[in-house]
Amino acid sequence: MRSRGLLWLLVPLLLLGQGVILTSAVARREQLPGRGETLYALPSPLLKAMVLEYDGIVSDFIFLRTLVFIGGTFERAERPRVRPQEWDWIRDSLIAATDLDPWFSDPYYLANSEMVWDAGRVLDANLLLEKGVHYRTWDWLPPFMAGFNYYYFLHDNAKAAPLLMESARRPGASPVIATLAARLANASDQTNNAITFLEEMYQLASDDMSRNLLHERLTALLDIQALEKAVAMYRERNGVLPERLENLVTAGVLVRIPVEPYGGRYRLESDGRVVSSSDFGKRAE
Amino acid sequence: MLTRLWPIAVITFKEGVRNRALYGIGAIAVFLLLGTQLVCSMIPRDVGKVAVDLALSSTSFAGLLIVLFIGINLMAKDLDRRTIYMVLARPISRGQYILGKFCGMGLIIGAAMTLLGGAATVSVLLTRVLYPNYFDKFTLSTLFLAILFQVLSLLLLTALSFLYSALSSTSFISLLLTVITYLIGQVTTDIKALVETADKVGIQVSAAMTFLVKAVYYLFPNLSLFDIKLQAAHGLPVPLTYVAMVSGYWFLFTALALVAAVLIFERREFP
Repeated sequence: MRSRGLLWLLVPLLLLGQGVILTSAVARREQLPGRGETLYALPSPLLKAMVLEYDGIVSDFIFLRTLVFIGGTFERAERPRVRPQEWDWIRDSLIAATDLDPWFSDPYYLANSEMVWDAGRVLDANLLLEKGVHYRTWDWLPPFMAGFNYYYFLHDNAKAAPLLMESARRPGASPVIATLAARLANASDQTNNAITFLEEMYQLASDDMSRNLLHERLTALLDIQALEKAVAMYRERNGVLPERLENLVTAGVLVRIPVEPYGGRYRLESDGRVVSSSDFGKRAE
Repeated sequence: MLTRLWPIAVITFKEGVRNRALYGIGAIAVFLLLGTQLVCSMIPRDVGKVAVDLALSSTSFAGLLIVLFIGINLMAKDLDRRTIYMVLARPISRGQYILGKFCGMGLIIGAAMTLLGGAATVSVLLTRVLYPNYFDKFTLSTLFLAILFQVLSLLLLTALSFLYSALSSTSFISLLLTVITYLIGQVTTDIKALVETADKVGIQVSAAMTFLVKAVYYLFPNLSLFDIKLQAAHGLPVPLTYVAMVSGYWFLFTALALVAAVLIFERREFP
């Protein structure tokens, strides 16, 4: 009987012991060479056959793994935060997730929020988004996002306009989108178009990260809009364009030149347009 | 005919329920269904889709385990333990024995899938209460249809496992053949498509290989036909003609497997 009692005592001890070892073993494993380089995404035809009838759930898993990976990179100290080959893997994973389940909306949105704003991989993101346009026939967001990217990042109004038209036709789309699509046909008034677009995107953003990004961008554009208005006012009063933006302050049209949120400076072009020296898509990192 | 099948079916059902494996499978299902809430909390938007994915994948996986670990044992046990002599000593033909066993297994699958399907539905509806905004296209009818299709697929697999049990001498061989049939049945469409468009993908496929793939395609059941999880997850329409066509396919293939099982079993010699 005594030995039975000892055995019972052994159970919690062993349980505790394996827990302790586990923690340090996992920590050691993190230091094994080759960790972090084991990123791979299987080609879709192979993957489709391998997952048997579990396309949907594997698609969810691949998406979640990508999401968790991206989340983890925010804790990194190194710059750039995500390496180019990691962006490749993120793109391939999102392609695989949407090959398994092309109606799954989250990978499309993730591609748009991460690959476009953070990595500047607009073409990759749009390739994915156009797949979303094709499959999610009831969803106005994929064509809107793809159209926005074409317009805003790639300056391709010819491709943006039909996508926005498509978006406006779908249920739930804001009536503003149709107006935007129409306006894109004539390329004037770029700043106002962008602000309308961004305000729409800001309403849609669900997470703080993209809200902050959009807010920053919106601030910059509103600054530019205010500066361009001031330049126009200056020209009306004095008949000529100011030489530099600082002249707006000395002439009393503007209280001060706003601070460019990306660390660059606002500059006046010879045609009266105001641009940013940081070209704010390309960030300092 | 039916009066002779019924007692065997009932005995089979009781035997299956008495098998503790059923409890384990039930536990897996409950565990997976509870996990749904955890996973769904991590999904930014398409929560409804993920909830349905998890629910339907749990039911189909647990159902598969039932076929593999209860269904095959039911017949193998009779052969291993020689209890089959007691059954066959009664005025029951071997054909009636097989059909009775199949009906009994049908009852087990029906009962188990009703429980699993009920749990799946509760889990999806609970998620809908928690995240009502992400279920706009979801319909209960497609969810039920998906579960019904899973039942059909499991019954077809059971019929084939009986055929393998009639053919082979040990339950392990039957298990192996059933697993292989399941695997082939799930990928056959993809592999055939891959072989037929090999040039596009950039792989070389010999003529003999193409023939083999096509032979397998027509010999083995196409289980992916019964998989409408994605349609259920996104509330996409499943036309009635498709339902009728798949039901017809199911009936013919199941009948084929059972008839073949009966024919082989009748000729079989027992040690």
